[in-house]
Amino acid sequence: MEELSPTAERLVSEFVRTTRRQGAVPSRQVADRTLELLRQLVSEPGWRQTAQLVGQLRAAGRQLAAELPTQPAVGTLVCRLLKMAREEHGAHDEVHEARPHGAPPSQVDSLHRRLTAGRGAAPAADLSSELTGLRANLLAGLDELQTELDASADNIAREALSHIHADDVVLTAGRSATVLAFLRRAARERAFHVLVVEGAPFGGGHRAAAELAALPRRVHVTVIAESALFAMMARVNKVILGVHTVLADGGLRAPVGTQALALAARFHSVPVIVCAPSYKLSPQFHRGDQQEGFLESVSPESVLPYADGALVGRARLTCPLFDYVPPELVTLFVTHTGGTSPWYVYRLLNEYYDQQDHEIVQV
Amino acid sequence: MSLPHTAWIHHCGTRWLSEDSPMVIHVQTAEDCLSLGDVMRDLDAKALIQSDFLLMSVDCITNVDIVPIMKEHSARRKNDDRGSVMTLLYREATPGHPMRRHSAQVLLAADAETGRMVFHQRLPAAARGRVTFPLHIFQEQSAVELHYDLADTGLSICSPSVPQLFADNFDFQTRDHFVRGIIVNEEVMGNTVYHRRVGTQYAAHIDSLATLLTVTQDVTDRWVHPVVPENRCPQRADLRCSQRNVYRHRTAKVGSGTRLEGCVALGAGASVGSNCRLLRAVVGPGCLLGDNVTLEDAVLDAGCVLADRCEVRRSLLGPGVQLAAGARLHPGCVLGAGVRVEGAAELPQGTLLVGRPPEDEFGGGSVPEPSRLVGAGGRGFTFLPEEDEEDTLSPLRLGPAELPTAELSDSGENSEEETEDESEERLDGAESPEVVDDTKLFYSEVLDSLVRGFQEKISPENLILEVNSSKFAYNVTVQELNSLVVKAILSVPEHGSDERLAAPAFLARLQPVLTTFMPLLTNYIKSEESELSCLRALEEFSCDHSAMSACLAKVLMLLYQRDILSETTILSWHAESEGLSPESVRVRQQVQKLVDWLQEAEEESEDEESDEDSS
Repeated sequence: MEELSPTAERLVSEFVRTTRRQGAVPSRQVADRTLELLRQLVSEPGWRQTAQLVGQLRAAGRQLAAELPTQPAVGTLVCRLLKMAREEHGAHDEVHEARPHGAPPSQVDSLHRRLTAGRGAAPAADLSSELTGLRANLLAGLDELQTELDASADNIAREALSHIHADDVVLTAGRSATVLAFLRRAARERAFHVLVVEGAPFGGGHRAAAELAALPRRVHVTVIAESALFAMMARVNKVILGVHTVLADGGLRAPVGTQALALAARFHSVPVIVCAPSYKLSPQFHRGDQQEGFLESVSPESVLPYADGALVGRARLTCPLFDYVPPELVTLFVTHTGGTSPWYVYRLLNEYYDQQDHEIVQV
Repeated sequence: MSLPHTAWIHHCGTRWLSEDSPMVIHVQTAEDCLSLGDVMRDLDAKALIQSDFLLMSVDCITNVDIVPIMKEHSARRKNDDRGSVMTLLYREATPGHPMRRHSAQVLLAADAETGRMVFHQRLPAAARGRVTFPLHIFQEQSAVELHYDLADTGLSICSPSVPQLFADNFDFQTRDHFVRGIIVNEEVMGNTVYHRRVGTQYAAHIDSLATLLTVTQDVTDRWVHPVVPENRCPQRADLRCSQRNVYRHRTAKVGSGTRLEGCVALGAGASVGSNCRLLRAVVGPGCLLGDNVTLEDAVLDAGCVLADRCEVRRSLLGPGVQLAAGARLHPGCVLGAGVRVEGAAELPQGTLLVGRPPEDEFGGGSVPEPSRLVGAGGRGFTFLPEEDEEDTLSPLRLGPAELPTAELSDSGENSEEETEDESEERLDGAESPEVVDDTKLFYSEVLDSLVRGFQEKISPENLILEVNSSKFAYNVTVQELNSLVVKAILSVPEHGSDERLAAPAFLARLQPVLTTFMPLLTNYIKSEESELSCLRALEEFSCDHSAMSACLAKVLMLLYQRDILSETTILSWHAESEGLSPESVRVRQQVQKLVDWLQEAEEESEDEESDEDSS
């Protein structure tokens, strides 16, 4: 397994410490800081050969994914950069030497090809050579990635008009910046109703409802409690949700309560649309036998104040953050490139990440 | 701080002292510091502190974001109140909260608008009864908040003038002294203290072993998130938190059939045998547990070895404790480092053992015997904490999870309920320690006043005032007051000498005392009820004092002559026959003559009266 250089080690542990200390911050902010960390790792003069850089990044990615299992952006962005480095190197090789196998590797992989291709069929590219200009190219690539992140909420919101129609009744839960941008965009052109589920126990729904109700062009906002979900679902046309991580099988790691919501939607045959920026797409799988690291629980203060001496210490209180939602409950993902069915998430994965790097984010 | 502690700080602080730590740490050492006051005076002498600072007790666990609170304090000091010297942080917790059950209670009054403290008092853990607030605090503020719903966090923000204030007031030893001093002298010195609640964040300071267990459970229950075990592990991925808050290190082994029932932490290399049951237990690194072990509310430090069938409940085990097969620890045991228990021993509630013989303060050469509890070949010495506090409050005792008084409502209105509860407690054998203590304190104070009054010939009026003020201070009832005053008077002759006087000498000394204090008695003994309690006090005193019982008849006679006791009360007292102890019967026999005489006199007077009537 790869080892981190001392400088990289310091950068990574500093990043971990700051992120942990910050606690609950929007995932976008963590993504920006991760890009900053990656820039520092790439600019690091310690590496010469591509293999060295790849080794450093893989070690960093592994450590970050282990230390910050609830921050999706961290591991996925490292994988994006790894893919970039491998491609740069491959493109360089292609230019300089004729490929022995003739056919260039297809950008779009198919399920069939992945199933039929043996594991050892495509030997891992030799990365041991030194490549001039790789550092500059990768830094430029990271800048592009930054632009993509900056634009992703807008790009997702651009899809809004093809999903939300006049007089639709849309249901959303909690507060997600991406979903708010999506609804705001639709509200510019169309009048519709929004049901906001309060998102207990954190009450993000209240803040979201306040922001929506303050829009200049009026959206009809109704706030409902989690328990009223099923009763209200019958009148809903569409469920639009944010997500914490999109898993490799198209399932979701989403704020707690989402599975109940998705099941209610399934019962009433209401489509569930999930807005997901690209950095939330992770090659991680959810294994039912390994809940640790997947389910994070925080202080039960929001369930019951610690001051209440009658219950604290006598009853056990827990406050988990996440739910797993299986892919069959999701109708459509909206990413910055358009809509994708959960069954085609693997294609996006292949587009963004190299298969060799999938393992580093598995917790 | 003494030198071994300094080395210990360097050892413990390795994570903070490491190069890439974002903090710069200076360790200050001062010899011969025994209290916070000494430390502050030392800091003042070194002139190290130039800005607002955070004062934190070493045993504090918190996730509070200090920076905004610090800014608030600085802003207040700059803009609104230049004299603001300290902001104390409190966590809200209703009475009876696990966090408060074992520590001194905080009672404070503060200006509702600014949070400026105008009154601060500590009450014992199981406090009940009345509290007196000075009237002026309500007159000077437009709105006053009274708080009995706070738990101390051990955190406070201080202005740079705090060390200097400690230096100016050499009698300030603790933070409580400081706060009280500042509040009392607010008008004179112009300094103020403020309080602030930390809201939904967690902060607690561990002032006793019982609180240590509570805080341990809070940490495993994730109240202090993000300060949770897995985040503190050097390699986070090594420690996994699963459902029911079970934390298992990657290298910890658990046997088949073992139930980890919740709030369990297993450290690196810990090994638990099969068919064990663990509930709210912390098992330190390298601990080895055999089969069929039961742990409940237990904290095991590193390297403990528990053989098969051990049972540990609500106990603390230091590093390297060894228990042989079948050992049972009842709630409240604390075993220090290196204790070894052999054989299927059973340690009773509240056992305190240390691995090394306790050091004799005076360097005595005798090595104490190992405690019998540890069995043959075991190692462990009984540890005796300094018993200058009530048992339940001593920080070194691990009290029961729930004190009997914890259930009581804190309102004084339903007094019927309270008296019922009190009598129940007495039946349980655990009498309310606070009541006993108050009367004792009151008694000793009254006795002191009387002795002084007798020697210095203080006027009885002043003595009455003194006794009355003691009565208010200790909250004793009128009946208790009467009987205690009588007893105190009777104790004056022998006060200060160990040996008991013979009856004639005692009477010789008692007579001038009684004559001196006669105005006191006339002041207090006014009604029939008070006469009865006076008589009972005389009786109780005589029961265990032979000289007094010998001259009881003379004392009664004197009191009768001075019209303090009426004949009817004496007679009705003497006629009491139910539930008397042998001593009481004996005492009554002693005064038989007097009673006979009284009865005769009464009959005579009745005769006279009837004669008069007839005539």
